[in-house]
Amino acid sequence: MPSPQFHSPETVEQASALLAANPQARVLAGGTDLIVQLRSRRIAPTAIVDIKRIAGMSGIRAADGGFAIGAATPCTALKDDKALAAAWPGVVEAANLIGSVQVRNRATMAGNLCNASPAADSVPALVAAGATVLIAGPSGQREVPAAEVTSGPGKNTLAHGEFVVEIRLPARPQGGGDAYLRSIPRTEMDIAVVGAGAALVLDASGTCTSARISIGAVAPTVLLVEAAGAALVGSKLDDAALERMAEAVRVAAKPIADKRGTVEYRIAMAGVLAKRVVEIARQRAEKA
Amino acid sequence: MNAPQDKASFKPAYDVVGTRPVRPDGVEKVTGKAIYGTDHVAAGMLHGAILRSPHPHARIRSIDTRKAEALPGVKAVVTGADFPSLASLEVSLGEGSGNIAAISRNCMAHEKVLYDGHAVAAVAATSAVIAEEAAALIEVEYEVLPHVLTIDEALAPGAPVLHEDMFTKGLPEKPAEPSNAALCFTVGRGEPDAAIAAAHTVVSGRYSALAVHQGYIEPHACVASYNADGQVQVWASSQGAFMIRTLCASILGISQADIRVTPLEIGGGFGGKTKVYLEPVAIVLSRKSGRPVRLAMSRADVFRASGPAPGVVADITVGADADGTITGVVMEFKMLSGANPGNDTHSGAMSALAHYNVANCRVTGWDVLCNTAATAAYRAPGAPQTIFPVECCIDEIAQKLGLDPIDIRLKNAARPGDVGIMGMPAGEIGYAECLEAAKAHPHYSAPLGPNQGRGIAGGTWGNYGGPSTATVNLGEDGSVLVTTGSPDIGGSRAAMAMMAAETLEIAYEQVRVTIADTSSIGFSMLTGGSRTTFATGKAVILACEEIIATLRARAAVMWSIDVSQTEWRGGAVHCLSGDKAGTSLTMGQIAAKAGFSGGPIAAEVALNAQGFLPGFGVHICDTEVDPETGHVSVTRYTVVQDVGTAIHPDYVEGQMQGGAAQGIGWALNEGYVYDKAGRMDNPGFLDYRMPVCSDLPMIDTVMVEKPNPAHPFGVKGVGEVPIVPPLGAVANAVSRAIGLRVHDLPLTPDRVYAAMQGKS
Amino acid sequence: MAQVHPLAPFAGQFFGGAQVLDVAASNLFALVDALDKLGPGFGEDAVLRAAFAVNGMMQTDWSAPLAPDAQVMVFPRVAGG
Repeated sequence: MPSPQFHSPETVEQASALLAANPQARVLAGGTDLIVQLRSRRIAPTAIVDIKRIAGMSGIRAADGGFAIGAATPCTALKDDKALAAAWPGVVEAANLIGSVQVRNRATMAGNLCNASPAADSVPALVAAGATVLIAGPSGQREVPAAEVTSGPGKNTLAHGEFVVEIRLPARPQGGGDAYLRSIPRTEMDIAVVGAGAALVLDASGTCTSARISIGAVAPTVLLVEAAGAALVGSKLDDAALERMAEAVRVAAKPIADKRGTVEYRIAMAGVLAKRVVEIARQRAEKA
Repeated sequence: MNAPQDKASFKPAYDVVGTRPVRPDGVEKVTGKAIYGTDHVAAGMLHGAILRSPHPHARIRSIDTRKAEALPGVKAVVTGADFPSLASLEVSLGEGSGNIAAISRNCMAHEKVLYDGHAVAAVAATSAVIAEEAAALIEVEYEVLPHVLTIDEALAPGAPVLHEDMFTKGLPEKPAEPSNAALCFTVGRGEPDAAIAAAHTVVSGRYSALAVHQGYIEPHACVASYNADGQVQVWASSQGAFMIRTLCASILGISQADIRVTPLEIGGGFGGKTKVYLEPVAIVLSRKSGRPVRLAMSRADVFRASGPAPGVVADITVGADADGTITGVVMEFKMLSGANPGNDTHSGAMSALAHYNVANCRVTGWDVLCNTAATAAYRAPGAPQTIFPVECCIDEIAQKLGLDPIDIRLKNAARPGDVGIMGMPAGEIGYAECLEAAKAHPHYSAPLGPNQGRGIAGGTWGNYGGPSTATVNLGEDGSVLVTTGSPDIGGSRAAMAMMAAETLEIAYEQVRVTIADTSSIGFSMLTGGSRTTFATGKAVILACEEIIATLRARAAVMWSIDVSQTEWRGGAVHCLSGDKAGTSLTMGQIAAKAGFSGGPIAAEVALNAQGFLPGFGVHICDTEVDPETGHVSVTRYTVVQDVGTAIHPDYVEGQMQGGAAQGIGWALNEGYVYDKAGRMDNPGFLDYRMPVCSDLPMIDTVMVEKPNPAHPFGVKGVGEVPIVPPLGAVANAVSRAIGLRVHDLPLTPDRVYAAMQGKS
Repeated sequence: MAQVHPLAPFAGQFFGGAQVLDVAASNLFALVDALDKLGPGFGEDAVLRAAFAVNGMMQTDWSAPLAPDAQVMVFPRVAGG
């Protein structure tokens, strides 16, 4: 096996050209998935394109009243951005459940998204928050909702030569709150058996005016469960509304049984976690 | 398991023993200088790789190594054909024995592969990348055979048989057909069936636990160098350099004197490093290539091809009187030992009831083979699996009779002089003292919150003594060098230095301890069975006593008095008569003149240590179960253990906490999972879930020090007992938290949730 | 004569299920030799697999003198971790 070529382009255009030139090339950001897959011989790319040298790839900046997070920004750095952590605590917490501290010092949300694991922790939080993703490629740039980046386990919708440049989060709405929870057998260093994200907006009376509920690890991709959000809108998040929401989540969940959990358990936990995550989001919304 | 009940020679208080000095190997380890298995480098060293079977059961039709050999950088390729074809020969390995042919074939398959991960060929090359690439170029033609993964599959009529020459041992008559049942073993006494029939209260159930790995953080690794004259050096991390020497010599037909094994620092063993996997292969690669060769396992290799401890299924019935006296026990358990006959059935059967007086009992164990990795010892091998069902049944009886779970154990506890199931009266054992200490501990009376339950379980392990060698040499300045052949897996260098210092009546810092290679010290049995501080420690103490005798004799000559007129006190010889009465000579003063008297001051003691005593433990476990998800949190945990005398209490407490942590992992989340094709589905720490720090509370420890009269300082051995009670303690705590008896480990959230759903 | 109590599997495998055997022996080496005559093959097996307890104490030193009235238990050796 010849060693893969290693490229460190300094512009988005160079990176895109390198990726376009070699269908076997893979993007390296944090590398916490890529290197593991390389070493276990699950993948054998002939070229690796490191995007960390490209200006603007690392760091968080204000954009359109919200946030633009460079694709190579490690998860740990998200915690250091006080404005981001205050606006979207669910996203920042979700990204900081991935792996261990050492892993999070390298790992990126963009990589978590493009790796397309159904159990990726940051993705349900991004989907609930309404994040969009800026993708660069040979024919320019496009912006898509986070939920549209993945198409199945290990599969993303990026075209040949494309890579993620940044993740964009809107401004936190007045009365908004978000949260993410996952179920794992251990307390950390684990992979979600079920994940659930919520982003709510409450009006001054405590009535829910907007709700986005997402679930992970219970379908080929992270799901935005619109019926679950609809079950909450107009309610004051009373038990009946929560139960309708949970039922919508259970209906939407289409998990497989594997070493990490049974179908029955995952469906039941999707409902439990959705209720719990809505409660945390509600508390955050009420403080907002 | 007994010891002389002579306490007259027992010394009650010590200067060094029982203190907590810094370990002598600590600085080297925390500064990253210590040389572990994969750190050793030999000049001109090649890197090896092993090709492993992707099939759980297959006949090897052919192996074509030509493409691998042709790859530039490849210096040697070996297969089973490069190993001597051994008859089925058993060698004594101290505590147990091993079938050399089976051990050899586990290192490198001959004819058949028996599990996913079984080694079929190996390569040595100028880099690890080339070696791995070459291994992938080896073409193996397999005839895939049907496989068995569970006890039911292995024992089903017509099941594929792993070893065509294996007939169940221990049955009244040799069976007509070979099978996957290697052994049936029964111990017991009295009339258990009648006792159970007449009992006031009877509980029964089927309990199970999965195979679990020892989980040492350091993967197996070694370097071997075969010289043209047939002399071999091996550098390896293991629990016994002499074990490696014995096995490599037997497998490869090499004289033991021609193999020099240097022990490297060990990053955890827990019983799993009492076997060879890589060393014979590295020697053969080195012989073929003419260069030193390093072999190292990946984490996945460690999971697939080393360890684990056997899983178990046990059917048990226990009868008791209305007052909680256990009147009868019948248990039949089956250990799932993997690809070769295991070692846990005898110990499991003999340990199951060793902590109780049970007049009527029958314990039958079966050793069952299947197409998974050949099992290895793991802390108190066999005992956790069989004591778990016993402790759960006692808990259930206590609940039914409204008895306190510690009181019912005290009522039935084995005490000194009680004759056990093996027909031997117990020595100075401390189970009852542990139960009393547990009852008095504040944890036991602390209130419980909602969804919480408290579990109690006891347990025991027999410990061991056996052969050890120690030498003690004095430097010319009087400093003390202790040398043993016992790898230090739990702080034993500190313990050896402390026992030497205590014996010599000098400061701990004056003593340094080396663990020598197999050509530089006499034989010691491997570090295991909780024997090292007891047995090797005894050799160190006796060698120090010889040093004292030598020093007194030398001083007496220098003073021209009879040796009886000298006294050893405070690390010096004191003159009691003649011109120099009242003066003294220090070790340094005598050692400096050694060249003018009898020469270097040294002593060597080789012994076969007798009088070891079993250890006992009682664990208190609080769990909280999330009623909506089935998650079990261990909220508080206390380990009470009879440790004999604790030489270095930090390391004794560390053993207690470490064993408890591993046992909690076994109870809650650990376990081997296979897919339908018979491949291990979780060969990594992500999906093989050992507890991480945040999974556990601080584990409180209570050392009950009931000394062993057969050891100069009262040592009993502490490393194995603490993994025995947690399985029952956690299961009992969960059972009480959810109001439902749980039987199957691990208690993963989905299983506990399903159990709770079934109830409601 | 030492009283020997062979437990499973030795009793069944070598001694026709005998619970007690009276053997004259000065130490365990001599005892194993004597038992090997009663149950051929025991001697070889004992080296690999047997553990002995003499008067209630584990004894792994076969050269230690055996009292004339010693009670000897024979059972499988177990290995620790």
